[in-house]
Amino acid sequence: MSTLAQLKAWLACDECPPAIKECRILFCKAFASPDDSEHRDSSEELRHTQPCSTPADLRLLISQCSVTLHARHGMNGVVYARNSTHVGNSLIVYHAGGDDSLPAVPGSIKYIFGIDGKISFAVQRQNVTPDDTLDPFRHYPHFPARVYSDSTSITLERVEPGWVLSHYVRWNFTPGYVVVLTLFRVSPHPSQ
Amino acid sequence: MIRTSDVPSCLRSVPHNFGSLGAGSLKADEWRTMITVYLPLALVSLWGDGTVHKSSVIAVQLREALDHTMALVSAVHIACARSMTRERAFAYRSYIAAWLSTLKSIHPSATYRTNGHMATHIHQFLLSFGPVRSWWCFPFERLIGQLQRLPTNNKFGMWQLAWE
Repeated sequence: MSTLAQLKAWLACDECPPAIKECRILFCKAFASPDDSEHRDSSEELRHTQPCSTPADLRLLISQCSVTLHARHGMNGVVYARNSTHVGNSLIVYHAGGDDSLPAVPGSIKYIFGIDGKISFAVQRQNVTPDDTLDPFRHYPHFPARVYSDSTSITLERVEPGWVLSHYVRWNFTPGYVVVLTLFRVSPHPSQ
Repeated sequence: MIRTSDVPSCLRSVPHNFGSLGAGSLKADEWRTMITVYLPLALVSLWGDGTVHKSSVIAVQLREALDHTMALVSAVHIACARSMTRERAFAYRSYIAAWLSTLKSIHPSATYRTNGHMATHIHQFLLSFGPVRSWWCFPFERLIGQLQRLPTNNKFGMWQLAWE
């Protein structure tokens, strides 16, 4: 433990060669746990990311001409990412509109954007299957897996991080269909 | 399947070559990921509704084995949830009881182990202490692992003695 503390102190001091510091940044990005670096990264991104022109599809969701776009966002030790950065970390189950009385729905984060320092997600909802689709998981009510279409909606939906219930696992079940397995919750909503 | 699933980075990974000799043995947390995520998805896709088998007898046997396994999967899911209610605790007991009571008929060569008996008592712990996450032993297991490595070469700090 003291060795680790000494190493950290050396990395933080001015005597540490810049090349080593550069390696440290790369190492943290590649291997650090979500509890520390990801959370710190997101706050650093908030400070340093410059506003850019709002993408056309995102402009249909928000009225601003410029936003700050982020690759990841960490909150309470949980890492969220846009789907172009990490597909698995982009998969979220959330209460649409923040309404707890509605069933949670799955979707994939396409953009993580900030307006006036407030982070929001632009999400493509996982499309549901036709009513007559056979769902073999319906027999197991305490196993939270359901069959969905493998496509996502074109329309973006704004989701605040506090509305997110959990991540989910997605697996290509049969052609055209995926299984959505809700993982254990990350938010204080009492539904799981 | 393990390789092709989209999973968040917070989910404990398991060897992509699970089942082969080179995969090694799984740790407890890896088994939890396996039993709560990959095995049920694989088994339902192989033996669940809509699957085709050589004969109706085989189909019934596989379906019974699937339902039996899913009873255990459901119990583990309930136990690992981050909140607990009386309804969930009793559902857990029902699943464990169903799994144990049909174990010998589904798998005649299986033998009862102490773990099965212990699992029935978790129901009472869920009622008394809440979710398993509040009192499971993974933090202690990690601490024991750190302590076990101390006498060998895992340099967990160092002694510095000085005399004046």
